[in-house]
Amino acid sequence: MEEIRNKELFKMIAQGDQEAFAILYEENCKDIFAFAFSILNNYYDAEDVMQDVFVKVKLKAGGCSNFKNVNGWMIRVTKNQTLDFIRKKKEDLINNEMAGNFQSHGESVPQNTTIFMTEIFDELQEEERQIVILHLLSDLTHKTIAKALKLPLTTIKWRYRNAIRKLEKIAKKKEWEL
Amino acid sequence: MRDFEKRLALKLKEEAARIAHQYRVADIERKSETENGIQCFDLNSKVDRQISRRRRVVSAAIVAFLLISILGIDYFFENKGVVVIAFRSLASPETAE
Repeated sequence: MEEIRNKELFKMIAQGDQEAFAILYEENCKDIFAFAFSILNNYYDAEDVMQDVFVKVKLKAGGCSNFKNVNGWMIRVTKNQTLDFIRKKKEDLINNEMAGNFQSHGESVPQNTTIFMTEIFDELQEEERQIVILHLLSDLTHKTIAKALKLPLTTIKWRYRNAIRKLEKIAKKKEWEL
Repeated sequence: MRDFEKRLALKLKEEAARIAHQYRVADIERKSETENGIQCFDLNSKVDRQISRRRRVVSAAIVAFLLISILGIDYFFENKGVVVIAFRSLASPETAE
């Protein structure tokens, strides 16, 4: 996620540039998807959240082009959308159970697909996953992550180091091919 | 960044690019237009909404009740507070002084 480039794209989207939106989507969809995936641990739900985030970006681009930290804003929107999604899903589940038409959950990842990320997620706590994904995959600095997740910088650094240490041990144990 | 972190980052990036579903941008644009339409509709409905008669009557009654209570407290306790002085000065400025 490149801050300056994204800011430019936001400005262009605010002026109605369709191509700029397509570029922003192409360049950032994997980051948004991976972050949502790190919270939800469900491929299909993460896809839905990603789509909702980009809808919001398109609608609010005009108001956010002057933001100091556009990437941080996108991360916060993703987190809020994800939490909304979880809340809605819980409500639906309760309503369905009360109505007696409870259905079991589908697969959390597509069939015949092995996702390495899920192996990492199984070993880490939720906040550790988010920090690892944002730092390693989205190339965000610890400072930006701290602002976006509203946590102290030292906490972010400590959790990240802890997570990496854990993953290093597991990588050796399970002989991951990196 | 150490070697392990670099390799892990590379693997995660490759995988994310592979699995992040490529939604058609047109779908998102259509959805945003729909949501935009809903928001405009909401805004219009808010502008058109008028204050109901019942609400006006209740608000007027609350204001009258508060005024009467202030005057009542002032009268019963013979306080001669700000309200009484203000009323007297309005009625006859000479007696108030």
